[in-house]
Amino acid sequence: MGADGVAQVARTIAVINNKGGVGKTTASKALCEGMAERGLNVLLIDMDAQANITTWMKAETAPAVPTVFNLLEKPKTFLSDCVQFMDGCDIIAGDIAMKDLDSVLSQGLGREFRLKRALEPAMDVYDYIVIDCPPSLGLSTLNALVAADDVVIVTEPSMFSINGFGNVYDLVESIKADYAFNPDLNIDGILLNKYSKDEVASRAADEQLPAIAELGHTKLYAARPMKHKAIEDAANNKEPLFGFRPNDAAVAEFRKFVDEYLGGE
Amino acid sequence: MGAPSKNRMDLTADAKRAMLSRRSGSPSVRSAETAKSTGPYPFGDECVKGMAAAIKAAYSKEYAAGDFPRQTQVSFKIDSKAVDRMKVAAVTHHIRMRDLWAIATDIVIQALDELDREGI
Repeated sequence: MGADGVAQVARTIAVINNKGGVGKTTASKALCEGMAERGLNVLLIDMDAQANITTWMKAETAPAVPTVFNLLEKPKTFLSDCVQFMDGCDIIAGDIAMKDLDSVLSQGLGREFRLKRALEPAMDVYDYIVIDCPPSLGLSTLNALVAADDVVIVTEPSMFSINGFGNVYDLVESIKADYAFNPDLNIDGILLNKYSKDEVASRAADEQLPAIAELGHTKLYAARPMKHKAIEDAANNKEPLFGFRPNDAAVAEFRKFVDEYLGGE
Repeated sequence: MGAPSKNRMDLTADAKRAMLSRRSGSPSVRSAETAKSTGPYPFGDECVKGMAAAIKAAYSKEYAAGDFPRQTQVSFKIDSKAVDRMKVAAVTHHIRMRDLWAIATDIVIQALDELDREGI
């Protein structure tokens, strides 16, 4: 991110890759927890129809509370009705209905800008808004990218996952240049998750990703979270990532990633 | 990145809720407190009373049967009769519909509070 001190308006981060299971939700959770630990006001938006991070944070979802689907489908929905105020990080819940967003909004006016517009009242309430995106490049991810300042691409050491970076990069470029939906959108970096130095695939990713990052005018974060059970256990137990097993090596790498994003603070 | 903004750190959930209830692109807020502080309404008390009665009548059945949280119901469903009254008020008193909508929402909340008190 830009080292321009505290922004007057919230900075919005989209955590994406069109491959599933690479760790977007864990990276989003790490960002939220790390920022909250620093006393920053953070809003998390769960754009994924699986609503995993909503479950992890023990937040409620539809029909008990309005979700991000309600916010995008009905522009007159009040943001205050959708935000659940929680210790450390507020959240707008995910919703299985998000799987139908593309068809529901196929003829909707301003469908690419719905999230950006809806978040306007939040800009002077929060320091950061973190968007956990689904493993697709459909309308929900498009809305996230139009609303975002920064993109964090999470990948794992596999061919399919790394190939996904090209698709994300093309989409970001289209949003920036071809359609000018969000000309200032910035790919902050690539996070290589589920790393194991003993595996050939991880070593290959180590060799390939710096060049790929350079081609995409971005950087590869130095943090290399491993696939450790502590991460899975924290999620399964609905416990904080940084609080459940704080001394775990993979957890430490996620902390390092947050430090890198925030510029070492 | 520097230190976090102290003002934001001190925001309570209620304060956040009030700020997030602003409409996109509009400084209007819908909290009852704000509505009181900006009164009296520029288009006359009689009109406000008429609108409140219409809205309250429209909402009494829905509120009793509603599965949604109250505020969601308010933002999703402004009754057509109430909207008609608002349009008349907007034309006759030269008020922007957007501003009128914010005021009407405050009135709805107040009407729902009355329903609460009446145990409906």
